[in-house]
Amino acid sequence: MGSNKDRASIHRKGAGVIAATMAFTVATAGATGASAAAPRRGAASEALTIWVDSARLPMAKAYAKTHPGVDVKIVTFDGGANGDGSIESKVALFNRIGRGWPDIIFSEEANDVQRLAAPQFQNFSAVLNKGLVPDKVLSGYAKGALYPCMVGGKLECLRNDMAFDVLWVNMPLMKQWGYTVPSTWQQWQAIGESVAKNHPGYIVGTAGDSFDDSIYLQAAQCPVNEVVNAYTVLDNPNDPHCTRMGKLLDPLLTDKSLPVVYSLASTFGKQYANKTLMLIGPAWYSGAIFEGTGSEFNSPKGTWAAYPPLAWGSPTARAFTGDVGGGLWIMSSHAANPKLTAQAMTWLATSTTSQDLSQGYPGYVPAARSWIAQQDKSQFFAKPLAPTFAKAVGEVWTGWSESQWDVYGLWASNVLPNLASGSTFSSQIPVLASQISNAAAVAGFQVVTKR
Amino acid sequence: MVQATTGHPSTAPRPVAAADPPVRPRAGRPSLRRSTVLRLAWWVVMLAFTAFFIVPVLWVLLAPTKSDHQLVYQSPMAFGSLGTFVRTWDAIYGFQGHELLTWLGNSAVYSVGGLVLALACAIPAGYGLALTQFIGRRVLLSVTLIVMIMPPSALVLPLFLEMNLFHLLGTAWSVVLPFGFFPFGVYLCYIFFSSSIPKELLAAARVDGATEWDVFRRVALPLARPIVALVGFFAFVANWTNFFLPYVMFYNDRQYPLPVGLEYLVSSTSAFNPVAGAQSPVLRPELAMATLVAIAPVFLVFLFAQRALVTGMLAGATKG
Repeated sequence: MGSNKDRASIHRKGAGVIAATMAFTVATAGATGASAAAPRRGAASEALTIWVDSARLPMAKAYAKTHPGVDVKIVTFDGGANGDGSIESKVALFNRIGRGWPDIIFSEEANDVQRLAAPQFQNFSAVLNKGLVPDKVLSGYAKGALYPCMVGGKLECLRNDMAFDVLWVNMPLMKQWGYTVPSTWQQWQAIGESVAKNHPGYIVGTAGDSFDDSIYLQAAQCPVNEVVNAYTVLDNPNDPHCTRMGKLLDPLLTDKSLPVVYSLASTFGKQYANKTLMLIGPAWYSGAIFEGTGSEFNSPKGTWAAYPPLAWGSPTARAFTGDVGGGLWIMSSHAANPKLTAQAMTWLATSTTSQDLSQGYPGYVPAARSWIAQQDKSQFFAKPLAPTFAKAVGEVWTGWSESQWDVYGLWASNVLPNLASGSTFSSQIPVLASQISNAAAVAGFQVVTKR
Repeated sequence: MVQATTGHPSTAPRPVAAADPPVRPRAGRPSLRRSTVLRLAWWVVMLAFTAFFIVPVLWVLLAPTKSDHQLVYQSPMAFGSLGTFVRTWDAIYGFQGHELLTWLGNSAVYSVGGLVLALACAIPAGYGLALTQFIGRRVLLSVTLIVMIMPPSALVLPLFLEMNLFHLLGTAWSVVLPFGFFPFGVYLCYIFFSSSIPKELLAAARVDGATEWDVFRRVALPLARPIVALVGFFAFVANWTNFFLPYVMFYNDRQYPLPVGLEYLVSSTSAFNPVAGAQSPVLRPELAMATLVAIAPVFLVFLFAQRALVTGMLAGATKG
């Protein structure tokens, strides 16, 4: 299955490249075509078109059910999954012909709003913080939850769910071996070295995912991808915040307690379901790795527990963590009825009725409280997720920006093969920084190494 | 060499065959051994290649009989159970209000519609290019060949703009009309008509008073059945498997054909897209089942059209 998955991944990347190329070609060709403000033909004032992926379909259906006065047309699509560029392709095509835009789009990719901010997409995303969405609603979001939506000081989307990283711990194994759950990166490293020595074959994390840059470098506050203003990016791999994480991880890569394996491959579950002591990863690992028949481990109830993000040096130091994805609701600037569209999108992104159906931890705090209470009802995890998630959501380091370029893709293409062939983590931080620098320059950004 | 006759008293002694080569004891054995080894090697290579191509097909056939967990943890060639097969079917059948059936129906409409148009265009075009003389014939033939080798995806964007111009975007016509453009079919028909239909036969029909239309409809077309089947099959398969054109033309999931629907299914399963959530009803066995549903019509068409296809492929191979 692993090979099938790899093949599918390659196929999807290929499709992504085609879609991206098409988006660019059409957008460029159509730059002088239809006006960005061209009205949608034949749109009724109380009609809405909402594009969602299959996981968000119940939310859109709930909106249609609770708002019978609105003629809701729901279209399901791939949600721009894995950065395949489908949203950008479709927007570019609609821009070219001057019609067809949906009113609301759900995107699975946290950087889609940044990509849509590129000039060729002709300001597709509506600006929400200039009267369309009340400040009272925006202030209900978790700290930092809306940072992927900020484009040059303008809010251009509403966050659906958060994907902050936490420490996942195999409680029975931890107890059996007599370890204490770590609260700092240094304690975690020490356990990793002990596991390699005393329990070879067991692991304390992985280093083979495309999002490991976020898990480790964002948590270390490494400034290699910080968009500091509209067209400037801070990219300094020699910053001590970067090098310290490299030094911490290198011994664990060497002793194999942190293997270079893809945690979402079926082969991972097969090989490590019973050999994993800890994992550092996003909140959505709960469903993707641990709980349910579709998860990689399909673990027994009470095995796993979530602990807050690790601090650096001292347990009392302020901890920071990474953020792996999280969906966005994007409103079209071409919507025929902006007020109704903004209200609908706000309902989808913040109402408890909608967010109780969410697959991930809601970014809107009141909805998150309700959602996590529902999750903890199953008592699948060894301790309630609520306190850990509530703490972690405010610890995402916002110096790691969502950008027009795909950092996960750069990491997967340029760094992971080197790590797999034995390179150190330290040696690969400059490789990523160099790739980011090139991508930023192509997008018209100035790259600086100092703030 | 003298042939021993002992033991065969009733038969006349065989004359001495002076030309026979002398028998050298054990001379044939190394050659026999070599040919046996070669034959064995041949069989090993053939079996290895057969296994290489058959194993993935078997895997796809067996996958829906297993649960997702069994698919990952059991032997790849193990059979699950018929009960699981039924459950897998129920899961994929029930996905988003039986959307798989909608996609299947859409694929059939677009493919057959495109096929009818392609046949209606390609056969007369091939006949005209092969058996009539007109100004620009050579140019038209060259253009057909050039368009034939162009990747179909290169034409998708111009087609999108064209369909928008005629307000056909998002309608079945936006894919059926482009499917009707099948230069490969035109070329196949051209080859067939120029090599397999005796011109004298057509001339005889004309002498008998048949019009050009009658000659085509009553003489050439009945003889062209194998090539009609072959072009029809190729057009059907090309339409059925086309992903990019409908992906661009449609923006409503109820209009997707199967290839676009399959792509959507892949993005809806946690096995390929963790963001989809582990509660997704579509897992790896359901994807395998959807794949089987997608290939079944092509397989059936091939099965029933097999004889005509082989005849069509051989048509024009020999003259006379």
